[in-house]
Amino acid sequence: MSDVIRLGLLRLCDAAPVILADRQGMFAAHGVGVELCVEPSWANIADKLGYGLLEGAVMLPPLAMACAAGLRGRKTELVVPMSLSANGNAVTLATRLREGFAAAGIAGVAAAKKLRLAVVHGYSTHDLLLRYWLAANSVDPDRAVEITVLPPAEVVGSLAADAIDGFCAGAPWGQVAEHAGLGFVAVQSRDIWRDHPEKCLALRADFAARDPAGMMGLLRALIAAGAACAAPDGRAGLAALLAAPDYLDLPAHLIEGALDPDAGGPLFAPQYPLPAHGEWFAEQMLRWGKAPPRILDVAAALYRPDFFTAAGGAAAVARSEVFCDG
Amino acid sequence: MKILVADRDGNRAAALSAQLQAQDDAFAIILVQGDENLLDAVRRAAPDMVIVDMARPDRDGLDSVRILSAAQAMPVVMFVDDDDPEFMEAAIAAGVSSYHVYDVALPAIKPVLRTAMAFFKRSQAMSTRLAEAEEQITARRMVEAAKRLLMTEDKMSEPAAHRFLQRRAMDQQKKIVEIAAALLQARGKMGSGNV
Repeated sequence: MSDVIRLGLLRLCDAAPVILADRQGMFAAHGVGVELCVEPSWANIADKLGYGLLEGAVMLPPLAMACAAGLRGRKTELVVPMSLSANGNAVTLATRLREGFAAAGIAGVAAAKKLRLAVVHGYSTHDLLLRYWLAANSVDPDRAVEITVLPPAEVVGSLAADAIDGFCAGAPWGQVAEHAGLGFVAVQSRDIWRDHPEKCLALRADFAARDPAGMMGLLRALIAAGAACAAPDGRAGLAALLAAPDYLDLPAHLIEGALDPDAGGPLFAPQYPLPAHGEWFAEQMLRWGKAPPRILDVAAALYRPDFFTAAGGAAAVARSEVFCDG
Repeated sequence: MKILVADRDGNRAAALSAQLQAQDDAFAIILVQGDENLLDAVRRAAPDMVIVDMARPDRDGLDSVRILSAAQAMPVVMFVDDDDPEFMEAAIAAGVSSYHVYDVALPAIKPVLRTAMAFFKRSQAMSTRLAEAEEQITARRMVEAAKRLLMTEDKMSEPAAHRFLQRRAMDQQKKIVEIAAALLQARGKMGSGNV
């Protein structure tokens, strides 16, 4: 048995595989001791990874790249041995924009007023997908709107207080805003880039090198947990688990709806860490001036499908090339 | 040097700013107000350095100040001290993080961060002690309840009930409180108000 592996996560629906693996003893069954550390912010996860207070985390791929490139905080060697989820985010706009959006789309709404839109982090899938969608609709994300950063749990309150006009966040926050009558889902992230990769597992490279057996046990447990999360008949149980005060602290029926992949919720399979996914994020970071060109090399080195296959993960499927602009 | 203190624990923030003020006249301490968003506070105060309570979820906003403000030419650089990772590790373990907005020299940052760490560690220790004290009270009540049960249901004397629990604890190599809890559980008295 290796040392305890500390894994960081935020209170989000797509942290389901690590929560399920922990609660159902899957880590122990694969011979690894894992301590889950629920963190209040992505910055905490990045800093704790950077200073060795976490071995790994449920991570945003662009943030993993930013950490590995030293673009925020301490430069940290990381590996991404598996993907944990796909899809699951939504661009939600304030209810008062509904008619304008229905009539003239996001371009019409943005022309009438400079929108203030929130994302969960400056280096996030949410930010890059929102920018891609805005640009595809001829809205300049740097000039025609203001993109700000808010914690996911605060976006709904900010929408209620009129501090923002909309947000792009993961499940279940779009559903929560809709349920409260404060906003409506303008576009699901899967309709910006069909089956886009969302969260990944990021590990410190020195941990992967020091404890390969521990890493393999961790990957096997999460492969099993991902399959369990993807099973439709397990959704109600999963929702009940995530609804607990330790995690999302929200009504279970609301989470169950948010977990439905047919309604834009997260997909927990496939988990293959496709380097072409990293490449897309790196290219988008370059496009918006968020990273220097060497980010392409950083992304290429980060993804380690060899670890995933060694742990018995299923073979690769090609990258989805279905985008909102064709 | 303008220092923004972002701590939702108002007492700790006030104590920390008083301490920093006493340390150096040149420090101007600004507090993040009540519900104010961290990013908005940074824009309002334009500080040289930000001391942040790591439990704040809106700390993510600071990671992108550099990006967001590129047009306003306000460089925000996270405090990175690669010469001294242990120092940063200790700061993070204490629950405090810092960002320097302009190019503040490291020798100026360290004493500020060290003072903050001391305050954060002290409040951590206090909450641990409080939790420990509560645990002890619960444990004592549990043993008392188990003894009362043995005295009323099994007609034991107080010393006999105590010996009974103690002997079982020794035999099973468990703590007396665990034996008491197991007994209460077995007889359906857990959480019935007499604990």
